[in-house]
Amino acid sequence: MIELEVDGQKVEVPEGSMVMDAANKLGLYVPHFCYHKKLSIAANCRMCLVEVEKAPKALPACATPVTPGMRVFTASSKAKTAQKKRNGISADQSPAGLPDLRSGW
Amino acid sequence: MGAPEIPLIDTCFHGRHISPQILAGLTPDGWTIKDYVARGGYEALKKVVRTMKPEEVIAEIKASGLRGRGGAGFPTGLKWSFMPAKLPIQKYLVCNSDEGEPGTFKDRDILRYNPHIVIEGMAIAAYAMGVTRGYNYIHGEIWEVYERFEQALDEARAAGLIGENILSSGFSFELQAHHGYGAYICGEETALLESLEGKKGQPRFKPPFPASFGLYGKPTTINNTETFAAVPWIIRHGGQAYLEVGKPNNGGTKVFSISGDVERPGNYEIPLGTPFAKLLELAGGMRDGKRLKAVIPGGSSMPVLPAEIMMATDMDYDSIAKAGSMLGSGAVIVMDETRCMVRCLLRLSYFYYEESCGQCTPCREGTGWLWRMVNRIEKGQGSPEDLAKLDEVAGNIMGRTICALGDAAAMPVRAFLKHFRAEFEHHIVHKRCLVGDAV
Repeated sequence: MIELEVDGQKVEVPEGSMVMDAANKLGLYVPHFCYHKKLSIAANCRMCLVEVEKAPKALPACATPVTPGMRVFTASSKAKTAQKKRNGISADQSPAGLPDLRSGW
Repeated sequence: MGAPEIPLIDTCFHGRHISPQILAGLTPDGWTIKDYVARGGYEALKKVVRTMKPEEVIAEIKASGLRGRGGAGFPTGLKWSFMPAKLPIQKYLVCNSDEGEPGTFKDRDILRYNPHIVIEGMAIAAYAMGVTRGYNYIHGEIWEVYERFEQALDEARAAGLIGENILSSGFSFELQAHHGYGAYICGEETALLESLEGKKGQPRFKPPFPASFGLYGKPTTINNTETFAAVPWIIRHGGQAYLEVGKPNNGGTKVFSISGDVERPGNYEIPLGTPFAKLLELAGGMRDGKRLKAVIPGGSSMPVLPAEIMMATDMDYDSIAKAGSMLGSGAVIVMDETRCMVRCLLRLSYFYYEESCGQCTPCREGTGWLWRMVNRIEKGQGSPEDLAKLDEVAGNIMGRTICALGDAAAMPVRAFLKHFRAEFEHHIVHKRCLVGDAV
């Protein structure tokens, strides 16, 4: 078992678990889209990005293995910005307007 | 191969290098093993397998300060020491010759005119890390280079320099060439591994890094072609001598691929720390005496720098980083005063839009948005808010993707906006090009 801290709460999870599992065990909700507990991990929607102490970038909770003494922040401003702004604005508000695929080329 | 009437383009055997190591003494057909041995080739491999211990080889590379030539500039000796040398399992050595970055053409020339230097460098690396299997992943758009490398491999195999029991030392190393099909993303090391395994080339999530979970899940070291090509010289002359060629922390020589508006585009091998002005002079200066406007010093994914900053900069990892860009793969793209920066950025954005592998959202969506917005501005249909939006989208891609392609697409956008904002504004306000008006 590995002990870590998520949003200030201590939690123990089996070795090899991901940050997402630890957050779920505490009942914390990390926004996610491509993650599902019964599917293989793809880590490509980038919606579950969380802040991890000492990591320079926000990391995907679904694909980041837990390490002893890790400190995770799922709702810090860095994590929130990463989750919300991962591609600028949400897809229905594309800054480029409706797709005009390769017009003019 | 092609029409013989076309005059040979002076790509790397022009004698305008400064103390060359990799490109020294090359001739258009001097690539065979006979020529290479005459230039002192395979001496380093003999020295290594007969007199040196693996740890000594790694120590020598560490002492040389050799940094990865593929783009990131990671110290090679350190990378090699990450490999679990004593672990008795299959390990792999991979050479990344998937050179897809617009503006970069150094690996192509190294492999075409001096393939044995890469073979020798890889054999030495394999010996240092206790690896018995190696692959050279060659970009799919340079087919003749792949064929040339296969021929060189046959020669080396016949001479007993790769294969079982190399030079009767008991050390075995089998090397094979593999070609891709031209995808830019396969130059990313984990995408390259996926492609080598026969899967679609999409980057893996890291960690685990290839040193612990690489090709077929086994420890793997991946280096750039030029990095391997630098190794034989270091072994022959010593790490200290290599370090003294360049600047502190920036040892050795580097092949710069100069393209764009210069008189003599081509590959130039110069010691790191050479001033950019000197490099431009080697390349014959600006074409038709035009004024220098901007330079991308390290391949299209690196930030652009305006002329005045560039002319005061030395060509090495630390100096260029200080100037606000990165040395990258050493592809120097020179742009003169007649170039519209909006059009230049449009071309780059289109490249990343086209080459994004589509695996993760910020890059897949973001690169398309960037391209469409730049396209809109270039066509005079932009609105004043577009510049802030461009910057925001670029900023939101950076650091949120699995691999560095997202960063690579975003960095040029931010740099072009930072240094040439006036041109973008002119396109939006006056619906036409500032440069076209001025010249």
